[in-house]
Amino acid sequence: MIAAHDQPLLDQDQLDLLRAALDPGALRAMLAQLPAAAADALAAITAALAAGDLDGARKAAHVLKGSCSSLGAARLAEIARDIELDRATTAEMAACLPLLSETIEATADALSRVVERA
Amino acid sequence: MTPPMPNPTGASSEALLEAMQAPPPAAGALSFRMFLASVLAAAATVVAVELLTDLQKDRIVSLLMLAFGAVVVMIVLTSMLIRKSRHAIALANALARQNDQLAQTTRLLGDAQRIGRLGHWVTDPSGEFAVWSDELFEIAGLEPVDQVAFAKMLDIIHPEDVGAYVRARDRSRATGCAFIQELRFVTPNGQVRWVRIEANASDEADGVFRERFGIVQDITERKLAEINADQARLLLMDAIESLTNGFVLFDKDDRFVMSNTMFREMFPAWTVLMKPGISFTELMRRAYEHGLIRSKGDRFEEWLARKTAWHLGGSRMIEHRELNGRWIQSVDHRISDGGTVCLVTDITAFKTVQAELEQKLAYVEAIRSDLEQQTQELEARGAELRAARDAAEAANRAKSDFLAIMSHEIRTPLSGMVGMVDLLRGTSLSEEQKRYTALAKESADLLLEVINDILDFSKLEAGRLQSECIDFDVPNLVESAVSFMGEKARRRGLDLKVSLAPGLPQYLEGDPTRIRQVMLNLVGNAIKFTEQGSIEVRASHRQLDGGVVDLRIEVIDTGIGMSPEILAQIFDPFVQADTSISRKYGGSGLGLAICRQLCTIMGGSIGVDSELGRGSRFWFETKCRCGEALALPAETVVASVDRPLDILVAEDSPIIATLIQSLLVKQGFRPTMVVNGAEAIAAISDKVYDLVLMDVQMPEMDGISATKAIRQLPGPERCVPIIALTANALVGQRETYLAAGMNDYVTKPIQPPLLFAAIRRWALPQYADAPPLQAGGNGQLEMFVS
Repeated sequence: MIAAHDQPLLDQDQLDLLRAALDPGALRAMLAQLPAAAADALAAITAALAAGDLDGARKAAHVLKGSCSSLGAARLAEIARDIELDRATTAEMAACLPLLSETIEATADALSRVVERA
Repeated sequence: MTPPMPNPTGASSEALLEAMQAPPPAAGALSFRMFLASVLAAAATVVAVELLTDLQKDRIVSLLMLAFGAVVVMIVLTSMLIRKSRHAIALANALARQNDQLAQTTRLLGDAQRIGRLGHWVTDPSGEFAVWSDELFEIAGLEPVDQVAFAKMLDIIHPEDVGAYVRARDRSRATGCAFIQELRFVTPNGQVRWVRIEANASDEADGVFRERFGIVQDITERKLAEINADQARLLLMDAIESLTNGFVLFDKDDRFVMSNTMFREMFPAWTVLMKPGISFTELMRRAYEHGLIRSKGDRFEEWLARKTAWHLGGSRMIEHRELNGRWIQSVDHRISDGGTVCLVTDITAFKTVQAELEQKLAYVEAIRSDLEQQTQELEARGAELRAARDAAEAANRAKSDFLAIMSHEIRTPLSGMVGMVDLLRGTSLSEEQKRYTALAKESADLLLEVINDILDFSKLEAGRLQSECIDFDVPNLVESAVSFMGEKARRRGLDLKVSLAPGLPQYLEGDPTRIRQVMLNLVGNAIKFTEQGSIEVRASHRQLDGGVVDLRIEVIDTGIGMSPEILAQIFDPFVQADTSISRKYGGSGLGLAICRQLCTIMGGSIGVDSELGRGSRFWFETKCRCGEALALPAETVVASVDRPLDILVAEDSPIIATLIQSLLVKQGFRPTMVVNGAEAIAAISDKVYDLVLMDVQMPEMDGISATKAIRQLPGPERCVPIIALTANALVGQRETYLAAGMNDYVTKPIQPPLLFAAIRRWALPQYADAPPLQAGGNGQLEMFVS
């Protein structure tokens, strides 16, 4: 995924904005929730694809995109955007899932550090 | 009585007459004689009267006669005295006049001597002393005295001149001829004065000439001028002699005056002919007769006329070859007094060198034309090469384009395969099937990675990636990149650490995305090739001119290292240490080539130091500029609000809902959370809200439908400002929201400052750029769109 590769894992600017606008505890709590929420979204997309529900998969990806981008998980958001907007078939969407899964893992890893630092 | 009468009378008359007529040589003697003569005359008169009158007996008469005589004598004496004193006064006046004239003459003489710096002396008869004039003392610098001894004269004459002086003086005395000499005086204060002494010959007495009179004139100024002129002449002669040219001078009548030694050495045969006074034409004739010149074909006289005209014309340089083969350069200059100076130079050596140089020049010229020919050939060759290069580049671009396209064509179906394998793995499989699918997944992942690298690389090769230039937080960038790889390192049991050099700038302007990509690649490699030990990422910088900063990142591992042969080509595409490594560690072999390309587009460089078995140190440098702190407008937005706004938030994603709630609470707002459009409509009918934040895409009832419904409500609540929250910021979609009756929209990712600004814009009139909110959608739409 070229677009995803071009995106940093975390959007530091967005994280800085959040840091400035939120209490550290609140931010930490939200960031800690993100991997689980992303995993839920992945499960939802996988389930929708398994059911052949293209629209359902798109909606799940859309929600994932919104929450990931808002919480600074830039690459995850980009992958979600890719699934929502650029993939026309279930096969194409399914092709994104391994990367999505991998990226969730990487993002969780990176976020855990941010949370530690925050 | 009568006979004696005339005698005394005659005698006394004569005496008187004589007395009267006597010249007055001396006043005293004269008066006495006159007085005696008067008394005698008076006595004779008395006697004569007595004799004539015969009144001897008459005493009274006698007495009277005597008295009369006395009176006569007195009268005579008185008149004589008067005449004498008049004469004396006249004499005294004449004498005074003469004295005045003499004094004036003396004074004029003194002035003349002083002005002319000229003194005189007169020698006494012995010849050993002299009387000097005042000016002579002045010239000699002595105090005036009555007499000056000859020895004193010898004292004041300069020691070098004394001998000559004495000899000249003796000769003059011996022969009586005039004495003229110029010599020096030394005054008592040490000053040297040149004087000219001149003495007339004097009369001879007893075979010796004496009574000498002479003058001494101070000629110091003239003498010094003469000496200077002599020195100047000598200097000029020295200069002429030291010329490296031959020098010949003719006077205004074109007669030879002089030549210098250089000329005489150059032309000894001519020197014999060049007698001072010989004219130029005569000299030429003599030289012709002696065979020193040839008339070059013409008749000699015609040639000579031309030559003379040329010589007198002056100031033209000619070069000619003498009969003896020497090259001579000569030039004639007219000088101010009408004469001519000829300068003659022997340029034989110069001519020889010139000939050599001309030969060399011809040689160089030949080489140059050879080179020009070669250059032309090279240019032609260069053009061919350029054409070949252009063709090669075009081919390379075509290849890159092809690769890019092909990669897409390969990757898309491959991605599908991977996805399907994943789905397959999620179904219930037998152990054997699980093993197969795991292997299929692993292989597909590897293949995907390789294809991704190829695609990246071909994009770089095709020049499709350009560097961006934005502010970034340096420590943050480095730390986040490293932390991204942290898990991978931990899994391999490696220690991964970051060290930031002291003074590293917090913010730089550059391409953080590419820097991160290179860093991740290098760290990934380090992890891949390090079995145990540690990996260190170091960041440092170097300040360059003009605000440019070189950011340097090093990745140091304790891995397997590389041999020099491998090092030489490690950044070339499709190269790995060796095929066994490729098999063992996998990868496309493109990672470092990509890194090098990325560094190049960032105006930087990349390199590695490594030793087999001792680990590697990869580094890269990128050109950045001094950056600024990232804009964090949240600070200003967090400014206090006038009152706690009641805000309804319709958002289905729990995590976004939490985020928005936290942001609003932190701002001092009072949020009410709902999860879909229907709930939002219910909430708005229930309570008055200052503003609604409406997610566009929600289950059950989306934001657009909900907004439309709210705008249809009967009460004033329908006018509540509604701000869309959307992840889709495309222009067409935005218009859809506004057409539905939304007032504004905020895109995801939700950036707190933008969100707060939108809230203030619509809920707090003092922040609004627009007029207070009116009911109805269309007006607001126009207002917003404009």
